[in-house]
Amino acid sequence: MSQTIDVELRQVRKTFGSNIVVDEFDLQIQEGECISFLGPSGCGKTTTLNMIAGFLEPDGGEIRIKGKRMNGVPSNKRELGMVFQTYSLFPHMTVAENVAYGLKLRKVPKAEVKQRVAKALELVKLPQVADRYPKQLSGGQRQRIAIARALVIEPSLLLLDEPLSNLDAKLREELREEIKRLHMETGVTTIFVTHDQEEALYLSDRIVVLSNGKVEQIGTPLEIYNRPATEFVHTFIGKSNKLPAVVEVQDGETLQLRADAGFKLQATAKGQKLTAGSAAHAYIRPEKLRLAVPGTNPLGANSAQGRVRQLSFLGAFAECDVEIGSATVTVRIQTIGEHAGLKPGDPVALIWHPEDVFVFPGEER
Amino acid sequence: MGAHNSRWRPLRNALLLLAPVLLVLLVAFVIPMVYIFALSLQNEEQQFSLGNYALFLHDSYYVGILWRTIKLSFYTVLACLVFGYPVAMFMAKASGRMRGVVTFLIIAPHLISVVIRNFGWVVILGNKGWINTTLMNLGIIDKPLKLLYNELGVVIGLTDAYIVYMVLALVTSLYAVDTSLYKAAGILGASSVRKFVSITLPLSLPGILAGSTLVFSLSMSAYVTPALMGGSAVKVLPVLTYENVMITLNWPLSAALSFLLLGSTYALVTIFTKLVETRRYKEVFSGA
Ligand SMILES: Nc1ncnc2c1ncn2[C@@H]1O[C@H](COP(=O)(O)OP(=O)(O)OP(=O)(O)O)[C@@H](O)[C@H]1O
Ligand SMILES: [Mg+2]
Repeated sequence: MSQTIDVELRQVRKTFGSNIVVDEFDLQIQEGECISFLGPSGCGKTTTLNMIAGFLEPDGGEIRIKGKRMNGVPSNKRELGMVFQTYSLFPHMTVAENVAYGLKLRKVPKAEVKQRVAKALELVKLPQVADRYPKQLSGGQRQRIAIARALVIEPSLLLLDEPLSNLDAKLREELREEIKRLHMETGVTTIFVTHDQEEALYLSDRIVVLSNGKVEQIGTPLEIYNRPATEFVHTFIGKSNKLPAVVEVQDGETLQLRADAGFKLQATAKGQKLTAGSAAHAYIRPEKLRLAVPGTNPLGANSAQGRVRQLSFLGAFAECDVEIGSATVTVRIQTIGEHAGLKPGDPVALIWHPEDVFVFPGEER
Repeated sequence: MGAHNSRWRPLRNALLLLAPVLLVLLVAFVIPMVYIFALSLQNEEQQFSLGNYALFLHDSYYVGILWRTIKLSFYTVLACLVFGYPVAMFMAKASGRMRGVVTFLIIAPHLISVVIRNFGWVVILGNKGWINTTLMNLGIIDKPLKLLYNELGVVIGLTDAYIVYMVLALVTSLYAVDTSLYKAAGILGASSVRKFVSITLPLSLPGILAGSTLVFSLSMSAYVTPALMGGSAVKVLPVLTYENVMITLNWPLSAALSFLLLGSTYALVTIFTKLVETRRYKEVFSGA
């Protein structure tokens, strides 16, 4: 991948009345990258995308695409491709006419239009529906056509605003594979907006996690997952057990904590500084916890004794809720093998590794 | 017998429920229509004759009036479209409250009798009306423009009377257009004009069709406005029919004129509908 910067956001800000919707948004996107904007509903993902697309003007900062300042440039002059949540295919045009729309506006010769439309439909694997109207297509087919329509103009940047959220689970998975393949085949720089963390992890080179209009963290899926910058990022991505705790000692890399639930735990500090006696939130993901025979304590501080409260079968794996003192934590277990015989009320031990414990500052008590 | 009975029961119930309306229609519409049609096939000596209809084949006076009626109705449709479309677009985009206000504003004048509104136009458009006095005082013209008692006056009056139907029909279809289509067209490179021509206009065709059909039919049969705003100079079919009923008392001719009006309106509306409802139109706008 070359190191040209394709899109750049500098201190972008947007307010609606007194409501600050996007603030201090800084981002550089390399050519050919696939970036996700990930965050809960209302955090400003669409607003940011609309500013990049030119549907909204930022109130502060600037947006550059291919080095050119975009503030004030209308959307029809930006040479972008965009795919919307609601497909937004023109209902009065056939599939082929929809795909050809952008090419005709660019006065591409007729023969070339025909050939490029055919190629685009080939790319999304739907050459057979060229003469149908959008309402004669399924939801998944419509979204593929919308993608073909956006890609056919060879945009400098492809924007997708929750393109999969109107589809059922199975189609969603199918289409996200499709989008990944298209991104690899075309190499087009892509911004993908979603509130589904799995989609973001699966598709992106880097993820921008947003909350309340602010960037929480920008990083690769692995960085976001393994080195969350904030408590919000950690809890938004994947499932995690929250354990309110008090810091007892910070000894270089090692943090000693006492969980409110009544057991001790160690954590590997990941850059953060926490003073002894301060409140903290410790987190352990269900898949990082192991069940052990009650009474065993192979890892010293990193174990606790509890009781099985409930078991939930989820197909490929199962979840076991364990009561430890006043806390309940969820443990992911394999559905076959040693723990299959568990039942509610059974005493169990939990063990974990200090490097799998995430600690964030908690509210003072 | 039982099966037979239950099969016909829904129809019998429907007929019972419809009976009052059917009765009124029969007495007030079907019978008079048949009577008028029979009347139109008589001459003044009450003998069978096609002479009343034949007038429209050779008498240029009658042909001229028919042609003028069609022409003025057509102009009215055009004027309603041109002036109504921007209003409808504004209403389709406006917030719920604003739309309510504008709807009230365009309906409110219709709370006043059409006769009174037409006299209002006389005050505005006459030789000593506001427009002419203002233009003359400003020295832009030196003799009054003829805005009344001619075809222009009739079209102005009819447009004022019927534009509301056009606007409401257009709003309904414009409001149904998904606004994200404009975003999609914009990002693909379409300018505002381009978006209007390639998205707004084709998607509002059902509204254009409904509004035009309504305004055309109403204009073809309008009597009061052409009589007041066109005067004796601009005679249209309904006015001619009225004169033959009330003044010359030639009822058979009036009957024929009525049927001619009905027939030509129906024929033109049908042709227009057929022209608009292409195969694509049916594919796109059919319910399923
Ligand atoms: N035109 C507007 N006027 C006023 N407030 C707006 C406008 N558009 C968005 N907002 C507000 O800005 C905030 C961010 O909206 P935005 O649509 O960007 O969220 P989002 O992250 O895309 O959420 P979702 O996942 O639900 O699509 C919301 O609180 C919303 O209410
Ligand atoms: Mg959104």
